[in-house]
Amino acid sequence: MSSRFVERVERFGRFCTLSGDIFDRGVIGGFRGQFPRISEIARFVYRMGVGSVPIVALICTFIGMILAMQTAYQLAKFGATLYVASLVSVSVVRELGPLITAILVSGRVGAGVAAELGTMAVSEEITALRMMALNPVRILLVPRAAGLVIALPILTLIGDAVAILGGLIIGWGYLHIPPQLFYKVAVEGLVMKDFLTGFVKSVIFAVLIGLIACYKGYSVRGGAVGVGTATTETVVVSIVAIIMADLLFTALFYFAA
Amino acid sequence: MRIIVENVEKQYGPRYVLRGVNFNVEPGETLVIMGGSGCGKSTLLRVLCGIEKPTAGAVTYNGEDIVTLSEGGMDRLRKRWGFCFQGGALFGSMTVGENVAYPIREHALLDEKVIDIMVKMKLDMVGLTGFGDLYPSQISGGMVKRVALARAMALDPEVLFMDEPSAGLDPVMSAAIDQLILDLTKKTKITTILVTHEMKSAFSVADRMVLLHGGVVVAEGKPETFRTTADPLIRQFIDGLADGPIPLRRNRDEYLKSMIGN
Repeated sequence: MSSRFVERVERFGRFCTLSGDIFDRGVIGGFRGQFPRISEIARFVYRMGVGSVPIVALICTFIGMILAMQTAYQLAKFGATLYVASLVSVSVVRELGPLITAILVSGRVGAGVAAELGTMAVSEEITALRMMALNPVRILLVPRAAGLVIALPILTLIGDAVAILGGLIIGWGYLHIPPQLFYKVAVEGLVMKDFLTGFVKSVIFAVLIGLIACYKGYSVRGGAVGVGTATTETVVVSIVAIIMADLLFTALFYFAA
Repeated sequence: MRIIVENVEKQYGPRYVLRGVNFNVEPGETLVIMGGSGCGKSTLLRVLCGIEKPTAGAVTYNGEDIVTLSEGGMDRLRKRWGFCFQGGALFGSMTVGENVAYPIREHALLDEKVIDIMVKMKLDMVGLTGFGDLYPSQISGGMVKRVALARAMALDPEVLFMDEPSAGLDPVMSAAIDQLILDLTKKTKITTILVTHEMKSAFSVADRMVLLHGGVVVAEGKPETFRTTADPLIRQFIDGLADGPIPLRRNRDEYLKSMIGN
């Protein structure tokens, strides 16, 4: 077995151990009466969530517009342009909203978390915490991961809404569909399962981004180069993990349906 | 707190950094670990406070071996220790005052007003009254070291570890830090282990000294012993000489051999 393979297996093992530790202190700890600090989690929800709203809103509006124009091009051949509304709403709520929001958040928040933790590791702030008899996983990683798990589904909901609004703008201005009618068709096209699928996906994506960013940042060695590498790897690995999970999840729902 | 270091070894791959290190530290004593760059003194300090596990040997605090101690046991001991990092390791997102208050807030159930008074006392102790609202990036290197010392002293520890407290500072600031350490250790009777390669600092604060070379303790004793010794290795280190038993310069043949590899 090549040493590179062994090293990768070891790295994956360390990732699983750290993820287990975050889960233990963030979720299981609650059953032992050791709750994570709510004020810290709220601070991260605000920082990660509110800070990401403008970029999520901008990109998702554009995605909704693009989707409306592309689908209208095909549906016009059948004289069914009205169904642009339901096509946009279903594809955004089930698929594109959670996916695009997660990719944006992995670039904006995931990279930030990895860089912040990496810098703390390099400047020995994490070791300083350990020397104060404080657990860095509980103090640094749990609030960040929890913040992401709360913020991403909310951001996804905002992303879904503005993407449908983007579709509505195109429907109104370009396809001459009255806004009330577009809204009615868009909402009628949706069922509870669509919302549920989108919500569960966004939670899974948040867990993946949170764990990957925490692991990459927490394990930084080697100064500024290490921080840079961790940041880049966080974004790349998160996006790959998100798309893989999306495929798996979609296949599961497709075959289960 | 009595500290006993027995046959401590530390190995990274095939490279030995520490080889059979033995010494004791008595309660209330200030022990200075000296040695050149790369001799293993910072590694020894990290082993002594459990940041790194030794490959072999034992480090006991009042009879408790930290090598075999659980994480919970280590935390119990760490609450009684203070650690001053070489670069300060202050939390950049917190003010100076919040940095000093942090261990108190986490470990003591005290009213915020009491914590505020304690922080002011600690900052006053290191001569930084009125600097509590500044961030670490807004103060000088010497001030960072003093804040780190105040934070390490926040919970009135029984053992204080210091890694190069005066390295990289100007002579006046370096002397000020030495005087501060001396005042603190004498007033509080705290057991102190300090790592340095600055001879002036070492002689001004030490009750006892240990000289590390190549991962081995080559000399141990009181500062007077080191001052008066005729041992060429210790003399070279204390007097800061380029020529002596510590090989720094190579002759022409050795240089050629190292370059061409035979």
